[in-house]
Amino acid sequence: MTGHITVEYPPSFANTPMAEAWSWDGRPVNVTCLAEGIPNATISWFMADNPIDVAIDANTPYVRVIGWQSLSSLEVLESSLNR
Amino acid sequence: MATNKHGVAEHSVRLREARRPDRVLQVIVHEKTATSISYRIVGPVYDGGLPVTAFVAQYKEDRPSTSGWDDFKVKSWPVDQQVFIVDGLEPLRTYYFRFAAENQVGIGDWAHERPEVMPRRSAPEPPQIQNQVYGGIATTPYATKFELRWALPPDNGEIITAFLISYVPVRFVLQLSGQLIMNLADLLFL
Repeated sequence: MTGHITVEYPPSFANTPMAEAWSWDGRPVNVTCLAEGIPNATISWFMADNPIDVAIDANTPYVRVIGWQSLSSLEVLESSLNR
Repeated sequence: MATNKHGVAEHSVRLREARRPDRVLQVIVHEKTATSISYRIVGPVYDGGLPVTAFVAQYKEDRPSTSGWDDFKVKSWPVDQQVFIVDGLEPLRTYYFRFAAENQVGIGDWAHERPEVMPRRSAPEPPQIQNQVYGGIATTPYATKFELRWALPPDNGEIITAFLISYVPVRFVLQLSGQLIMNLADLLFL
């Protein structure tokens, strides 16, 4: 008989090395985060301490979130850098 | 922020706006010949956020920038070089130069505009001997020959036609001296 054990652990951003993202001339910036954890971690984004709502982006038209589990990217468009 | 039932992790990424680099701090003439100038360049205080990848020079003949920089030549060098060379210049002419640093965003403001008067054509710079020389003496592993190697020096405006080699064989206390003129074709057959 064989058994199977899953060791669960809290999420970690240890393999997300990105600490700075640079933009110029209005170029969009992509920030990607990898959160490792079991069960899969849910990723949420904050910009200057304000949560970014994935579902309704009417409040944050200049950002776009791609993915919310384990791997997530935040695309920041031009205008937000000047705010 | 990442969450599962065991806990929460936070990671922050700063969004920053990069700029073109500041002006280069210092430009020093390292060596000038009739047809070339080499510079040492001290980079800017602030690189704009992204590393400086190149130094750029614009240069043009005779007139200062009041007459515009529409008709200039450009030379760009990777930043990791020690010395930055502009060649193909004409002897006895005056050129106006200016310099800038470049990063991924673009080329920074130009600075250090200055005239450079090129010297007249003259005898070439001395060749750089590449053999190892100790106390003025180089040794040869061969019984009957000596291999002398040198780097082509700046020619100061005219093609180098010949090298003059003088040498003194050193054998115990007995010293002979001699001088020899060879042209380039002869040297190739040595």
